[in-house]
Amino acid sequence: MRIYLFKVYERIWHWVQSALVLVLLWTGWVIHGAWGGVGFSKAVALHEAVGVGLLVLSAFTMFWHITTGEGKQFIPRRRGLADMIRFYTGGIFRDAPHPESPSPEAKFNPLQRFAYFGLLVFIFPVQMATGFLLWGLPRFDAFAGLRPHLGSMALIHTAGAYGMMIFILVHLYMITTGRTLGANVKAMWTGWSDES
Amino acid sequence: MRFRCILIASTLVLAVGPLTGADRRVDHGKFPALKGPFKDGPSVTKACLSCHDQSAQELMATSHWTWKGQDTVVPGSDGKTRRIGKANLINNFCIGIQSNEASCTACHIGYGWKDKTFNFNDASRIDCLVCHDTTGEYTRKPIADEPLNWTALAQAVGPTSVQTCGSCHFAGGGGEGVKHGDLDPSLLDGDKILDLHMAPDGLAFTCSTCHRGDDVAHNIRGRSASVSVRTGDRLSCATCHGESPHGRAFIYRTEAERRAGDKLRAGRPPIPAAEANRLNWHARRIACQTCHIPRVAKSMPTKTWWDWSTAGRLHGGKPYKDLDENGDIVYMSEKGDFKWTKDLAPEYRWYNGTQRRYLLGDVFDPSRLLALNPPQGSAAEPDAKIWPFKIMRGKQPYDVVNRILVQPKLSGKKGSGAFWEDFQWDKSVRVGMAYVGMGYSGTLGFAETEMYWPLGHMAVEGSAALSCRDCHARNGRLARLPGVYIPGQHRNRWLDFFGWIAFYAALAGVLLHAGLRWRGRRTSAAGEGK
Repeated sequence: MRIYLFKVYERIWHWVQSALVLVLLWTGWVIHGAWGGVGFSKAVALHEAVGVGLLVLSAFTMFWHITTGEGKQFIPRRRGLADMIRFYTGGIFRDAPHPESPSPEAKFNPLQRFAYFGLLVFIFPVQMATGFLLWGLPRFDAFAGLRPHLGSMALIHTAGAYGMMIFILVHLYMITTGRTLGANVKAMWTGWSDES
Repeated sequence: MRFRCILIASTLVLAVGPLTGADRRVDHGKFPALKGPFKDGPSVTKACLSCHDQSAQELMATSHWTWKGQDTVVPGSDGKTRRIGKANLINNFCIGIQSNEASCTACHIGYGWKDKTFNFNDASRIDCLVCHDTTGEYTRKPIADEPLNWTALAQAVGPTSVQTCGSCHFAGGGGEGVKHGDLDPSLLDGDKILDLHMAPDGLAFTCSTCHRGDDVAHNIRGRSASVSVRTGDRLSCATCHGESPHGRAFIYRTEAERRAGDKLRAGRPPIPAAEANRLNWHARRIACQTCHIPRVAKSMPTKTWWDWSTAGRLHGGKPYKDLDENGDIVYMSEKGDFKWTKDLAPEYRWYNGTQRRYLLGDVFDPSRLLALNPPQGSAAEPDAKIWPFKIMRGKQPYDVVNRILVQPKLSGKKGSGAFWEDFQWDKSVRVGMAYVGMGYSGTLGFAETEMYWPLGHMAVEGSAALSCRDCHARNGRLARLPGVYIPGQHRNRWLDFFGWIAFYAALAGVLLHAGLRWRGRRTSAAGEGK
């Protein structure tokens, strides 16, 4: 049975966002001094531009989720969570059946909900807020009072980057745990998911 | 129309105004007052003053004449009002002029300041020629058999030049380029990579293009941080460039300046607005000089270390010199050990334009490095900016018991106590300290001191200035500057450590999980096969 899981906007959002986040991570590490590659000034210009892009995309996406009511998909629930944890720590190694099957009304299993909710309400807002301040503090005198705290903001922003990196790593692995290794990424690309 | 009239009128005022020396050049040789003949300097001076009747009065009020500034309260001092300057301060080069006037005043704009008896009210003692000579023939130390032609010199007077100013300011501290680092004779014929403002292929400024009087021509703007404690209020880049200079036209004062600026920028793409904006907010807390003077002493080295404690060694009773491979003196019996640095990268400090100042008689702690004129300011003060400095370091004599720096007598006749003749510290310090009216315990030591020289010359265009990575890097130029977070330079070691630990832990978890899945699949596949 094929079900249509991800609508066009969701898919565009997901892939544009992934591209923007990867560029932000890359240029961010250049600025942090961890890698060379593109020069510092280009990295800063790119980081700022892409950061603004991500802010705009997030604003649209928030609007989309509120107007379509799809936002509820990300609200964590505890029902079924224990089964999920049991599956990932045991069942998956014995080819046990997946305890959850997605539907357009509930696309995400409880673990996904927790992970994505954490990403969207914690890492993203923190990165956007500190990123915006790091960009704006030196520029606008309205922020003059916060300038002495630039260092701690940068620290939080860097911590968020580590969080983001770890999320991406785990996320990339978890998408291989679908019905087949490539099933989830295919669903995210085409919108259609094959369910038995 | 009215606006255009004002514009034309103000341009005319600027072009022929009293401040533009180059436009009021006249042939002094035709003036009867300068017919001569003149037998010496003071007689030339009297002739000058017969027309320039205000000049002596103007000049005698300036620090060029008095070697003292105006009344000031030294920051961090006892709060008393003082006049300080070359005349009464101590540095870590030749230490101080008191009791050594006869040789130090080779660079005073007067004739005959040998000791305390010099008459600062005698206008005929002013040396007009040292600044206004245009022939290049004038010298303060003529060779015995080549007397100066005073009449010819007098008839050829004119505006000051890089050469006349440089005859003293390029040679402070007893040699070319010794003191400042950003002032040396290479500026006479340098290119714009040396100094954009002064180079003929740049803007071809003379010193007085910037260093000139506002209302009183002889009251020249500019103060050196070595001899004053408030330098910030006298001369700044912003006079012409404004406070947010990037991406904006500079404020020209004459047509010639406008043309020179246009020529320099011809064919260059403008800085993109975002970049200009970024540079401008950097400029709020970073002095222009910091980026635009990336290096000094570019053509000849400047002295960066002077250790007086080794002075006085003699070979067979005679003083000697050691030279390094470049021919620079690294040891002199008279002065001790030197170090020189070419292409000096400045050091950076927060600076609000004021310094504290070690004054003769101040008790200090010899166990700690003594800064003679530490710049004031910090990241927390909105008016302070990050400035480039040449920091001169060395060891100089001090009174171990009284814990004060001493003023030795260095130059003079043999037997006078002059160290450069007699090589006896004890007598030299006794005579020097008696001259300044202070006691000396008789126990001499050498204290390590440093002196700050904010840099203002040898500025270059943006393309040759510092770039982002010069500071935004692990060991950037501002690596030890407190109070500011610099992306790319600063990081939290703990955060980076635990951040990567967490990442690798996640990676290990993922790999372990993948391994278990792979094994699980194999076992279940084998089970099905049975």
